[in-house]
Amino acid sequence: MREDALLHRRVATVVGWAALVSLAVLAVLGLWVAPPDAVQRDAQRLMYLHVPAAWLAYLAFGVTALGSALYLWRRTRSPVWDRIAGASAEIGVVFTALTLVLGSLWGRPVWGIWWAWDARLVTTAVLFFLYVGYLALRRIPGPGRATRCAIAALIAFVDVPIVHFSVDWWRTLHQEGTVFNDELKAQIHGTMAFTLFWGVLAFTLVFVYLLDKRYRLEALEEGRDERELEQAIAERVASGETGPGGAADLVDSGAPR
Amino acid sequence: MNLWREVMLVAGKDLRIEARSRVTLYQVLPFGLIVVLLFAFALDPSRGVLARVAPGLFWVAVLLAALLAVSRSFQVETENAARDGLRLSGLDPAAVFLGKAGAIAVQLAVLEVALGAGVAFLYDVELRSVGLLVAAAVAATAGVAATGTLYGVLAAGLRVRETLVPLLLLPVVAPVMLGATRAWEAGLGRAASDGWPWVALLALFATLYTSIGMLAFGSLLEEA
Amino acid sequence: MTDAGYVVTGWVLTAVVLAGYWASIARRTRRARRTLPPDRTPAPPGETPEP
Repeated sequence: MREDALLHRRVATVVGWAALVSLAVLAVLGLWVAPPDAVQRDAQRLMYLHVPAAWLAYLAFGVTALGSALYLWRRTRSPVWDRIAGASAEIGVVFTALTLVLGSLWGRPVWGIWWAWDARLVTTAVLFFLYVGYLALRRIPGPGRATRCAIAALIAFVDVPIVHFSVDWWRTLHQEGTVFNDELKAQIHGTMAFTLFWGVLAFTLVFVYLLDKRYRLEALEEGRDERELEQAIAERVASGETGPGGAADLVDSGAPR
Repeated sequence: MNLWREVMLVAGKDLRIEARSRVTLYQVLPFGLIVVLLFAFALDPSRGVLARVAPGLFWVAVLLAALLAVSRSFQVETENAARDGLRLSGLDPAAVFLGKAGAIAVQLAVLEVALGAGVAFLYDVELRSVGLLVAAAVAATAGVAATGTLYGVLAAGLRVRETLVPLLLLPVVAPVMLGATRAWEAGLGRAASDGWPWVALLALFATLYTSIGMLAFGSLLEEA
Repeated sequence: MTDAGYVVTGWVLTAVVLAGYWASIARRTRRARRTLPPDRTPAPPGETPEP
């Protein structure tokens, strides 16, 4: 491999095509083969995207946290883990946003509201903002970037279960949770269950493919940043030798430092 | 020097700077009070709306003021290569963390007493269980101070520090917001449920982030 | 909007987002490859002298 990557190029291509095909199959299953739900009717078909997207949002966050932890641990420290963390975070923020929007599109016809204050939704919204903060941090260049981001990722990761638990407890006390929980925990069987499972599978393939692709970009940009830095240093040194005020000038003229 | 003495040293330094400059007293505290006042403009001061939402508004005001307190705490370290001084001082980074967080916590405590009085006065609330109110405030303040110090040092050397720290800090302390408000609702007699379990949650949060802070402060100070 | 309207919106949006994000990575990768000097292999980290 001439480029730094997670997967061999041919493997990545295969994964990419597999992801595309499985998404197409998901569309057929979700929009046509699977029957409408007894209660939710056709709106159920959004679940085949919303649940996999949510799974991906949290999986990506886990990968970012894992990459961050492995980067910080001296025995496994490597820029590879930092790049994985960064790549996964960008993918994660996209899927978190998608999860929230799909959730609203589902909630409107089924519950009649765009938003509800239950643990799952609120935690996902907080997750979105945690991602945004991480990515803002990631944009700041410098030698300490990897460590800063890694610690920030772990601070955020530890927070997610606390947020979920506290909101869950809060809403249970207010007894508004029951209606939503009942509907979400409803048993699904047969084709619908299979389609849901297929959706999770398809999205996981999408994640692996995108992670590798984004990782390559991360590695390339790191290389570019380093070359730009080398170039800037070289220019500074060169101008110091010939231009006025350079250190070499002072030494030659014998001027006191 | 043992840990506790080092903590006192750092906290004492920060509090002495505050005693001389009075930034928290003359700028952050008025800011908090203005926020409390603004809420009254935004909401209906009559019909008991303010009294009902007073706990939440109080904690929002405290949280916003905490952003300024954290910013100030690390602002003082930017001059005269103070950060280098901290790094080279030989002090245990965990002690520096506890010292700075402790100083922020003390300043926030003063703030909370003043804002609490302001809220009680302007929003017309009754104090039901002072013990609960104090316990919740102590735990919440510790959690916010610890997390704020953690993000403060993380962003210490960065140019975008001012806009970054609020974005990083506020989502993470959402559980503190939640727990503190619920505990204060109970403490002010505005909720049927027990406030003490929320205090336990706040204490858990504070312990967790204080531990993380003690572990991570050293690495973050190196990079700052 | 009918139920079908929400469903279609959701599926179309998902397709657009996935395709768009993929394209965004592709575009940025092309740009990054262009600005890199002829030797494609980036310099390994740690060799850059400290300023």
